[in-house]
Order: sequence, then C-alpha cells, then structure tokens
Amino acid sequence: MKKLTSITRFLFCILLLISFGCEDNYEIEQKYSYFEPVYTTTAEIRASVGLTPPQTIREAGKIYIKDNWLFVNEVGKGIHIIDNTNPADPIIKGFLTIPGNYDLAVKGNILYADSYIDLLAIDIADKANIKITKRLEGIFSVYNRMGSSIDPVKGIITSWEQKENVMVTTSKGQAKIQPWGGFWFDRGVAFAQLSSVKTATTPGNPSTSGIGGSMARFTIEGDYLYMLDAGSIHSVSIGALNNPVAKTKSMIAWDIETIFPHNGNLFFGAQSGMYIYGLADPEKPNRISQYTHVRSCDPVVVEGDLAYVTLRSGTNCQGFTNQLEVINIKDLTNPVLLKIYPMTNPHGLGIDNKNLFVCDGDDGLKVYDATDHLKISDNQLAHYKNINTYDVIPYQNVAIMTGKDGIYQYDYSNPKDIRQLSRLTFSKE
Amino acid sequence: MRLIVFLLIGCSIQSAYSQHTLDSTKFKMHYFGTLLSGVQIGCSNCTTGNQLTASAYLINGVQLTKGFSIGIGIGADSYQEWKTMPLFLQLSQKIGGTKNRLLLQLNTGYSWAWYDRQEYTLPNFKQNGGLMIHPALTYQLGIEKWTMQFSVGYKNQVTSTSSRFEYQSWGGIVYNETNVKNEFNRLVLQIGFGWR
Repeated sequence: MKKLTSITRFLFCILLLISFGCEDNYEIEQKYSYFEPVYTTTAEIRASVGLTPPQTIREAGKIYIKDNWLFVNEVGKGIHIIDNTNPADPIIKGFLTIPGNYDLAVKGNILYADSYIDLLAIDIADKANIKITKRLEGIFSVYNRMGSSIDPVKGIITSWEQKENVMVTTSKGQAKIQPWGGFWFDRGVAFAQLSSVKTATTPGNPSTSGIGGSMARFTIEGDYLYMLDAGSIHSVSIGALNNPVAKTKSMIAWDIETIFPHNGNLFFGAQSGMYIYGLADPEKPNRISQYTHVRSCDPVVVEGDLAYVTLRSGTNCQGFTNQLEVINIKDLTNPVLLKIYPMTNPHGLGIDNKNLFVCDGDDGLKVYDATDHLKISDNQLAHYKNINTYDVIPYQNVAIMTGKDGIYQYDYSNPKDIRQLSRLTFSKE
Repeated sequence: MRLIVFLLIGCSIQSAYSQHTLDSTKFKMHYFGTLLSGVQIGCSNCTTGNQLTASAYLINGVQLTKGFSIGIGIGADSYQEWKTMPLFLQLSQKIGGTKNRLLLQLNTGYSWAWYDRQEYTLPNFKQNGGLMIHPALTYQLGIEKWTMQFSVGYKNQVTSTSSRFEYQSWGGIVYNETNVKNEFNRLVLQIGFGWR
C-alpha cells in the first residue's frame, strides 16, 4: 500500500510538472564599431596652411621630383620638402602643412597641391618663405579618403573617429540566426569597399615641370594642370603659373585611379582598364580609345610605343590578378596586349630608357631590362627583397622609391650594377 | 524554473518521509549501467505550443553505498535547430524504496553543441556548447540484476553562437559582432533499463 502511495505521488508530480511547460530564453549581444565624422570648418583649414620646421616622415604618399628637390606627401597632412642635391644624403628642409593634401605637381616655382576641396598654388621659389599665390576654392567635389560630405555649417570631414556600441537584447524563445548576415549601421552608410586612394607614374615634362610617381592623380602637360577628382578630370590653365584658372571638368570613368602624360596624350589607369585621351583641345581632353582588362588596381607608364600596366588585387582593388602587362599603343585607337608577366602584388612602376622598375608590394623592388619587351622576366637586373614597396620614379640615373618604411634611392647609371645610395627612414610613431 | 525545481525537491522530500522500510541486507559496492531515452518538452515559441524533441543517455557508474551512487554519462539531445552532446556527472541518492527505489538525481556537465545553419554561412561563425543541469526524480524497478527506470526531470542547457563581420568603411575597418546566448529549459521524461 505504501508502495502504491509512493508511485501515485510520483505520477502526480510528473503531471504537475508537465502542466508548467518550459520556455527558452535568449540573449543577443550586438557589438559594432563605426566611424563618426570629425568636421573642421573651411576657415580653420585654410588658416592652417604654412611652412613648419622639418618633420619626420610617417606615412608617405605621392612623391614628386623637381630639379634637385624631392617633395614627399605626408598623407592628408602636407608635403615634406627635401633637398636631394646629393641623393646619397637627402636632407629634409621643411614641412609644408596642407591639411587634406594627397596630390601635388610642380611647374616652375609653383607647387600645386590639393587641400580637401581646394587647389592651392604655392610659390616655392624661396623655400624659407613659401606663400600661397592662389586658392581655387571648392574645385574638388570628392577628396581622398574622407568621403565627399561637406556640411555648410560644420565644414569638411577631416577625420573619422572610431566608436563602438553594444546592444544587449534578452527575450523569451530561441534566437534564430538570420541568413542575411549584414548589419545595420545607425549613423551613416558604410561602403563595402573604398575606391582606390592611391594611384599611377608620371614622367611629366622635366624641362619646366617636375616628375610625379606612377600613382599620381595630378599631372602637368604643357600649360595645363590635369587633376583627377573621383571619376572626373579637371583641366586647369596654368599659363600664368601663379594664377591657375579652372577650365573644364569632364567625366572619364568612375574607377579612374592614375594619370600619366605622354606625347601630348593622357593615359588613365582605371580599375577596369586603361583609357587614352588626346589633348587636341587641352582644355577638354577627348577620348581616343580604351583598353579593358580584369578589374584590379592599375597604374600605367608609357615609353615609346609601349604602355606598361601593373594589375594588382587587394581589398580596395578587387580582382585576383597580379601581373605586369605590356601593351602596344603605336595605334592609339587600338591598344593591343603583347605580353603578360606574373607578379606578386605590383603597385607603382616607372621606366627610363628601357630600365623598368616595378614596386611589387611585399616582394620588393624589381628592376628589368625591357629592351626586349617580350622577354622582360628573363632580363631581371636586380631584385631588392624585404621591402614593402609602393611607388618609384626613375629619373636621370637615380631611382627614388617609396616603401612602407622609407624612401630609398638607387643609382642605375650602370644597370648591371645598381647600387643603393640612401634610405630615408620613416618614423614608426 | 526555480518553482519547478523546488516542486521537484519538495515532492521528493515528501516521498522520502513516507518511506519507513529499511534495507537490512548487507551492501556490496558494485558497478551499474543505464541506458535512457525519452522526450524533452518545451518551447522556443510558446505561442505555437510545446515541442517534443529527443533525448538519450548512457550512464555508467558505481553504487557507493546502499543509497548513493555516482556515474559518468554521455548523451545526445535535440532542441529543434540545436543538437547537443552532453558529457556529465550523475549523482544519485535513494530517497525511498528497497527493491523498487525512488531516486533523486542530478546530472550536470558540459555539452558540445551544433547549430543547424541551413544553407547560409555567417562570417567567422562559431558555435559553443555550455553547462547542462538536469535534476531528475527517477523510479527504478529492480528485477534481479536488471533495472527499469522511469525518470522525470527538468533540464537547463546553455548554448551560444558568435559571428564577426568586418568590412571597409570610409574611415577604416569596422566590425559587427553578434553573440547569441540560448538557454533551453525542458521538462525531460525518460524511460530506460540497466544492469547492476
């Protein structure tokens, strides 16, 4: 009887428990980071341009040579002015503070530099007394890295501050993971990728203007300064060097990255290919042809009838291609691919008298004899490894190369015995 | 949950007080094994009612005293999209009976867990198991060296997932991380047999 009572109580407990039912709980923690824009008024930005004492280089961007001077862009901050009279011992003479500066070009004694949305013409004849001769306000609609948002009250976005946010939600039931995988962004639009912010090599016109690197977005041809502005090109008359006058702005392609002048034509490197424009009317470049390749980052240089294009993959560049392409441009209306050479992750390149320099990213600087353009890889002259290389300007037997950790200069007067002349080390702070 | 646990303990204690028969035979420590299977009753979305999912245990242990045993078990449980494999310790205390016994048991341990992600894949997805606590009241029928068991209990199981998505924004690399902690509560009914 006792046993029966025990079983009865046991079954009673079971029935009681079943009647309760059991519900799940879940807790969702969402952590995300975002960048909040930091604005600076245009008045503040314009007031802060000026020459300051020499500073160590931290993040080198574009480089430009004019006579014995080397100009190195400190990304977004200004330009280092370096006396390169002796390439074996370059001396930093000063720093030209230009907020929002990413590109530059020099003709005569006038340096042209962007400052967010403005173009500055700066007289550098007296390096100790540099002064702005003209400012073309608001000429750029888009400026590098900072997006294009210009607030009439707050000013220009000059940096982004990273923020983090955590949201915790608890509820009954079971959390079912959603398939879409994307996330909201509550304070603005986040883009899947950036358009490339660094660009291609520009020998320019050495007699009056300087020489830019292959990643340049500014170039000078004749009496005109050409500047890329997102997918468009500005032509600015610099007939009077200290008084640039904006002429036209015309669309090239949304993915334009670099610009390179050659024999009265402009060669644009784009993620989707190479565009060739004529300067029959220098105020308004006209399209001659387009050479299409797989999507990737793409600086271009030209010598003679050949264009050399490097294609690389990467976060900003998309694609999976890393190679050097040689293109016959004898007939500008019909560029023809001649040869492809595999590379590791090529960035900028430069060519001088058939000496081809390729910055192959982490694989270092490679130098080739390009006399036989169909056997370039068989004629490697030098390979400097263990340097992360970005861009190079070979000019008058000295190749100036920017890497991740410094500016290297090489003497290639004897291509079979290329020698490193100097290394200007960047600050790691 | 607390209410149910208290109820379970309360019922057990009351049952224990009602038992007066003592086992007078001489005890000898021995091993035992039990295979249990049954259903878990509970709901993720209770507006549609309770759902039944499966549960199975294999436990081996030692009867240390007349009333107390300890064992190690491994199991396979289902919670709709989740499947778990608990590895647990079982503590069992007789609270009544001699040949047929009423046992108060605690199964607790760590469960490995797998989430059915269906056709999609989230970036950097990780799935983690967690603590399993399963107190139970078991009625054990003894037939010579064999036993048959009827068990009712309450199970609490924790699982979690995390995924991290990084992407390029204007300012740099940003991330979005989602961590989900699930806590399953189930009424567990099991039937099993074993040897001793």
